[in-house]
Amino acid sequence: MARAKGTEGRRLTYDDEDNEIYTNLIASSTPFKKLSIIDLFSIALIKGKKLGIRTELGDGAIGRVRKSTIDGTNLRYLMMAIASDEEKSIDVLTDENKYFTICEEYAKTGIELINSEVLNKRNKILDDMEDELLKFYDKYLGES
Amino acid sequence: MDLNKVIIKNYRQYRDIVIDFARDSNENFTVIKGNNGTGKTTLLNALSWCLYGEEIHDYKDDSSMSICNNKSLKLAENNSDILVCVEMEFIDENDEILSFRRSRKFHKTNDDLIADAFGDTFEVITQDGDDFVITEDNAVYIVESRIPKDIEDYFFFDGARLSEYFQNTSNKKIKDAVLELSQLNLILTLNNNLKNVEERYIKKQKDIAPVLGRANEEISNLNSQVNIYETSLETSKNKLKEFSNELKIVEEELMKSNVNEVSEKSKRDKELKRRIKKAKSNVNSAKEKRRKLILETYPYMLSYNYFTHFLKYGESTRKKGFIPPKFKRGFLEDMLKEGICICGADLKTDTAHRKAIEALLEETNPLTDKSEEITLAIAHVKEVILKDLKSFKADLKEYKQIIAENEADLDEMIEERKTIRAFLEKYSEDRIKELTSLKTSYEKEIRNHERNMGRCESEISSIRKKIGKWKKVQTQEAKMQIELEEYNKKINFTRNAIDAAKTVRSELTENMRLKIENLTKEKFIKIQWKDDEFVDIRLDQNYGVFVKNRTGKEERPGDLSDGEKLCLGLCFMSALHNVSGFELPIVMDTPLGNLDVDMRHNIAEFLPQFVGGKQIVLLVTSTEYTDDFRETLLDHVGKEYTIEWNNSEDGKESRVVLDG
Repeated sequence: MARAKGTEGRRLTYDDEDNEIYTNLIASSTPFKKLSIIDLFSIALIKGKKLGIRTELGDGAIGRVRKSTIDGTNLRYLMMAIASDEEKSIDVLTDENKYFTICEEYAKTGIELINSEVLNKRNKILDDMEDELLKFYDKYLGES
Repeated sequence: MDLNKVIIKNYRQYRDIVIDFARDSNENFTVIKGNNGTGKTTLLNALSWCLYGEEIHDYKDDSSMSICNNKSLKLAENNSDILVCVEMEFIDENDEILSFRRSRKFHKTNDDLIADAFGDTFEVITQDGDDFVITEDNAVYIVESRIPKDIEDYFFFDGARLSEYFQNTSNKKIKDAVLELSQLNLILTLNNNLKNVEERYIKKQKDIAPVLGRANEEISNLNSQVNIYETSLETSKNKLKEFSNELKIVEEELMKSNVNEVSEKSKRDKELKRRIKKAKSNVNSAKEKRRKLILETYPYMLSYNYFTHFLKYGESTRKKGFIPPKFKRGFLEDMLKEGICICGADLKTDTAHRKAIEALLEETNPLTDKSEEITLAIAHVKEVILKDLKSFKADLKEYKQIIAENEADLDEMIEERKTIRAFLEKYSEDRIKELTSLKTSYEKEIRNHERNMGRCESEISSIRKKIGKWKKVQTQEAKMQIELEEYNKKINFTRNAIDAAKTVRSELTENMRLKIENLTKEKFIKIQWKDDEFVDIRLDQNYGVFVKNRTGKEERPGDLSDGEKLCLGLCFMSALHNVSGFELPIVMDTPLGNLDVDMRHNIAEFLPQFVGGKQIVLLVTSTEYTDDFRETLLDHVGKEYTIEWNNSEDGKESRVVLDG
């Protein structure tokens, strides 16, 4: 399991290589332009989880966002839900480092996937995401 | 008068050259080729300097550059003289030599060049049978009588700038040039001389017979006034005609423009521009909202299952009593660590109490320490995250609808605006304002000239009445003074001569205009490279040129392409030469620079006909003088030279080498 490095009190851990991907996706003309790190991390997390592959964070990974910034955001609850699903129990929530690491490893898989999708699909990513959303909506919320 | 030879020594980049010019009537073209910067324009300058002591082109970037060749300066010994000299040798109509030679002496001292204050000379060498006479005294007068400086521009000119001719030269200037070139101004001089003669006779008559003299003086003065009013009347008549034509053109264009429709369409165009901007902004904003909605919803919608599982785990934990907990695990651990129970019992001594707490700790799940956080998480997932997801589809639908509606409107509006723009491009509001302003200004000019004509006619009529009265006095006096009859006859003869000269000048001027118009038309229509593009040419009284195209519309030279303008300039210039009384060679510097291949071919083919047997010197670059151009012109080329440029350590030098 990867070791989370960096300043105390910071999470959303990834290495410099991934940091460059985050920065590029947010700064350049992609569908993810001007998104916050937290929102892009959320998408990376679910993409990784959907694929079901966790990638070790590696030695160069450091926390990038102050914990107090993450607290109280929807991402915090998303991470709780995904970690609980991963461990089939909410006991994992007693070990904060563990459930953060689970999510960061999924996000590492996810961000690299997004990066390659951007290169291959460009703006079609957004349409594909919309289709996916509508299918989920109809499946789970359509009746309500 | 043909140019036979030019000898240049130490002038700018020419150290020592002699150029013989082609003079055969069938092969009277001399072509001098040289790349840019080798000295073609310097040759033109050398001719101008020789004749008038001035160069046509300024050396702006190096105005201090001496006319003395720098290689000659370098090679000359200190304390020696260097003579800069240009000589032009002509063969006149009697087959005799007439040469102009200008020189300037410089002195080299301490490697510096100093102009000799008395070293400028200008000489004319004339042939009288086998004798040659060199004179300095009348040199300037002889040049002015054979090649006046005022007409220099029409014989030695920069062809590359010929297309600017009509733009940079006012009609008045062209008219003056025509009168100068055609020597019609001589009649004006004759008129002035006759006037002086008349005044002299009147003075003598007045001495002999004061009343008669006075009458004649008054008649003469009144005639002068009539002349002034007649000139003004004539000018106004011409201007009236000119402005009436312009007004007609403007009114026709205004009628076609349909002013109200343009105004309405301009208003609609502005409205559409505003609405298109708004619709584009709506589309962009809705697209941005859709993007944000998708990206923000995506992780949560796709985690729907994980959230529902999370809620189930939470429910199960609640049922187990961990949430909310009876005791927190941390609280029990703290009591055991401190050794005091909440009830005050000492846990170090009270073993039973201590064991009871240890048992309780054993039963208490670590989750109890996170109970508030988990409770909060469950509530947030249920009340916020999952609830928010429900509005996703409706929000998305709303944004997409806005996009679709605005995009449909945009397509429609852009299409409508395109049609309006196409209409307005033809009849722009600015153009209509300009036309309306022109119309007002032409109408004002017409009114002014009509008023002036009325005033002139009335003044002329009134002055003529006065002349009639003075003539009566004159007749009565003359009867009494028989001896003055002779003077009266002379004065009347002079007056008749003045009137005749005036009429002749007026008729010749008109004939000249018609002749130039016809010659320009004949040549320009013939040289056209697009079949039947232009069908006629008109010169107005002031030599304003109008070219009529095949649709019947008259175009100004400014509306023509660069090639067409240059061609028209050449034709017009050629027509001027044809009517001029000066038999001089034409020297053209880079005349073909701006022309495309087809035009060059046409010019090569027709140039000999344009210049009608005149001697021609063409200064050309190798890009202008293409094989095709040369091939077409070759039958008329008597001599071909190449300017060779040499830049050695000693200095720069150009040589003019005869080809072949």
